[in-house]
Amino acid sequence: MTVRGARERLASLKAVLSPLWRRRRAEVELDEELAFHLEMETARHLERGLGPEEARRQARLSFGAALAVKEGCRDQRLIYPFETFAEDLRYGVRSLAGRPGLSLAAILTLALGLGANGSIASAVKGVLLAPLPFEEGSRLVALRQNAGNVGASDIGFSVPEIGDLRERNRSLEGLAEIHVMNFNLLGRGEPLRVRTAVVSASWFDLLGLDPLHGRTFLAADETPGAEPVLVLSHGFWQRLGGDPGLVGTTFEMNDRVHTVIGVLPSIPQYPSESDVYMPTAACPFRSSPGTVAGRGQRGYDLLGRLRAGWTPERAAADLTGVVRGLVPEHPDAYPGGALPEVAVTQVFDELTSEARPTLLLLWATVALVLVAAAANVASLTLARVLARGDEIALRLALGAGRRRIARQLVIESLLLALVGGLVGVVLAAGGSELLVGILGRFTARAAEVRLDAWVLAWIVALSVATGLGIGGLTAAQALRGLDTGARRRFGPSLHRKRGRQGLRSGLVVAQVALSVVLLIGTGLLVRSLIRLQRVDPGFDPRDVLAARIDLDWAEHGTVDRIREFYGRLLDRLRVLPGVESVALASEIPLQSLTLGRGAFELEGRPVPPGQPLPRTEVRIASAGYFETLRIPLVEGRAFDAGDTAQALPVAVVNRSLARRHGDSASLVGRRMSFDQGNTWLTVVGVVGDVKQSGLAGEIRDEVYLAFPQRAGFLSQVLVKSQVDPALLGKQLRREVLALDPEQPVSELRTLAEVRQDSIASPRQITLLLSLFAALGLTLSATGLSGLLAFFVGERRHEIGVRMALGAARESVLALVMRRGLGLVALGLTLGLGIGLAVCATLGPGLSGFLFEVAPTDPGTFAMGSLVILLVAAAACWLPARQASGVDPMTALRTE
Amino acid sequence: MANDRSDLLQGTLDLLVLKVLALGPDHGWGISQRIQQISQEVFQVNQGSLYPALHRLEQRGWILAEWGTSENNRRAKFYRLTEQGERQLEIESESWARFSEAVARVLAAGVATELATEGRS
Repeated sequence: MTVRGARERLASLKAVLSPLWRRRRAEVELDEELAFHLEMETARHLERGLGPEEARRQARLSFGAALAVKEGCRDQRLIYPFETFAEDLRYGVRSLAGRPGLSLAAILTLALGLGANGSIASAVKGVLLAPLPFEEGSRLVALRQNAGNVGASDIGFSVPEIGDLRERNRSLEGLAEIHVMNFNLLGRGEPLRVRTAVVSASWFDLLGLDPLHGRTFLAADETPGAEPVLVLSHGFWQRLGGDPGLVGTTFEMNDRVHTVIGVLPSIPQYPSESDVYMPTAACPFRSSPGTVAGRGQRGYDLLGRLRAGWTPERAAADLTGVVRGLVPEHPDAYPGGALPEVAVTQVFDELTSEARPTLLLLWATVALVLVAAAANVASLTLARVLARGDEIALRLALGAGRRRIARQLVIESLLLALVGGLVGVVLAAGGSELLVGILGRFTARAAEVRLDAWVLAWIVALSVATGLGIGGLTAAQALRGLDTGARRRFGPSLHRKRGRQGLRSGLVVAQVALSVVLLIGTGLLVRSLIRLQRVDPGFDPRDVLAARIDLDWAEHGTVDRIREFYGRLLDRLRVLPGVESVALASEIPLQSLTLGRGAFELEGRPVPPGQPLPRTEVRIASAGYFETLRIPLVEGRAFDAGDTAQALPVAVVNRSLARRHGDSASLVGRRMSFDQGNTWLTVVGVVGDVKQSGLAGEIRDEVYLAFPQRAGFLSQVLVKSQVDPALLGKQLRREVLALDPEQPVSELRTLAEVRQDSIASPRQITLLLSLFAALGLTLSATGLSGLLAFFVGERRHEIGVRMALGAARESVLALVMRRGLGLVALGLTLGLGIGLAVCATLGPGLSGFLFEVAPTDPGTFAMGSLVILLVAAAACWLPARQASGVDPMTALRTE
Repeated sequence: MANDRSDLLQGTLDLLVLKVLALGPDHGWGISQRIQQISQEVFQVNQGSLYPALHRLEQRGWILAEWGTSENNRRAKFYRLTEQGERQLEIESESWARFSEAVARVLAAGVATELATEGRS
């Protein structure tokens, strides 16, 4: 390149860029250049002998529209879009600020839609999308041992089996065991009941997890006789004050001194939330010789890390091969011809699968809400743009480019959406917190839900998409028909002539349809919640207080001492003022908890060899239990004071078991055995079925064993009294501490609370969806009302003429109502169609949320339609009233 | 814009402007006058096209604008050809020559083509 060429390139670059910082000068120079041209042209005409006036006129005529020429020149500038952006932005802000009410309504509407989407997105991201906060978390798998052929599922592994699996598997890089127990922890004021995860020393290495403070376990901590050590979970550490100095302090547990060696970071805990972790050597049960050598002593869960390239399915085949190989080696450990198999699932799925359908449902819902919100704002904006038709036509006539006008409208919508998104972020922050509470019932990952950069980016992206959508719609609509010919006769009549409300009507129809879908979905949930609340749980939760009192095994190790402690406690509680009855149980109903499941045989009904024995759930209950819970006695008698440890061993069965195995004869008086006929229990009574696994749960066969004949694993103390539960709770705690000052009392609550709590998650989800449905309905109603108000305003003149010619107010009213309800009918039909299609195709997915309500429940569809019709009628009524109130004279004069 | 003089094809105006400026720097009015004179009033240059064209050529670096004094002593914006513009003028002249030659050939063969088309239809 020559020197001249280089200099010229620099000069032309400067010419291209200079308007960026000298915009005004560029404009002045443009004016000056064109003025010079006009002057020269005028001079030419003067020379040709025209008068000065005429010469100027001719010059102007030949020049054409100066504004259009200038716009044509500006359009050539490469940086022009950037130059004008600031201008359009300022204009947009002014234009929006000029109608603060409308703008505010639009911003709030969008903020609700965007905020709801933001908070759900934060939950979806935190729970379903983000990888587990463990090293290569996708390779972590949970192992389950089942023996499907004898009806035994998730029986866990025994210590010898774990050793064999570790040695013989090919699919796993590492394997660690865990089981969770409750222990009493002393040394911090009031005795604490802590959930304790007993794990292999390699547990945290397998997760690839570094401690927040201190250290995690070493292989040495696991050797028999090692000093007991504890690692605290993040939550428990914070409950104790969150002091890093806790590392190195000691607690007393199981009559031994335990040293805290570390604190975990905040993580989703698998398989459940625990307070503290201890190595297997420190657990008195796990380290007992019987457990260590007992091949049949199963119940320990396993966590594995897949070797690279192994899928869960292939690993399951490998591990099943290992346990099958153990059967011929140790036939005694597999009674009844049990054929074990190992199921392998990703820990990610274990932690998230329960929350997934709920999140997807909420996600779909908020997407609908956002579309409804955007439709509403588009309708508002469109109304405003059409009202501004004269302004736009004027700008076009004066030479503004169509693109520029379209861009102006898009920028205004973008502004609305972005401000809406900003407000939405604030709403989303609140919404996320609310969601964490709700999701905590579904997933341990709830704590990972937060409003991070990813979620902010998502909200911004949605805002931009919404803004572009609304802006594109309005711009297309505003410019349609504003062709060259139309420029000449700008004015409001242009837009009104063709009744240009088609798009707005379409938007209202869409909104109504969306509302119908939301209403139906919510209606289904509400209906099933009502059904759920009406379920008879089989017991009466009124006036019953329950408390967990887990005895310390080191102290109360023998069955006699347990009997004695509980016996004395019941005696003390029974004499408290206002107490009607007291009882003990292994568990309370509705908690999906059971002492265990067992295979049994009925005397005189031998099971053919090779056939699996019938199985049943087993619970322990004391005398007074059925009376305290008002569980009806169907036949025979309940437990009473005569069922002592020395008396004949007895059992009470539920109606379900009695029906299944009674062969139409009574089971009362018959004997049953859980240990191949070594010991026998006599059935003394049959009681009503109780919903043990939740109000929506199924009824299972159950056998109740009598305290004090069985005394291990009791934990629940029940007190029936009209006394205020808070006061009663204090008295109960005092009585327990009087017996043993180191005995913790936990989970103090009334059974009515337990019942409410058991349906808390469907209630919360239903509430959330109801809110969204109400929002959708409000949007539809305002959209409809706004459209009709515009319709009425537009036809004031026509209505005036009609009324002047004798039309009755009623007929005007009917005209408007007809128009509004026509749209509603269309939307309703559309919505019902979509709703039916969605419910029919997603039926199985939805039925997880529904209880005794079909996804296509006609009653719900009818109710939803009724609600939308009533609300729509109300929304139409206001503008219709306004129309019928038009004074013919005023209306005719104004036009 | 309907008149008895030919409208300029988009792109052709660019070529004419470059050609005129190759003769020496000039302002917008001067350029329009020269095009009309040289074309013997065949081309009527529309200002709505000329000024955007000048700005477009300037943005592309083919011409540069400088403020100077006009023949009647007024401040005026003068455009001049750059080195790049000279090259562009060559390229466009060539392609115009090829184009007009091709058009001429087609027009010469016009009679035969029309016959062939009619025969097929």
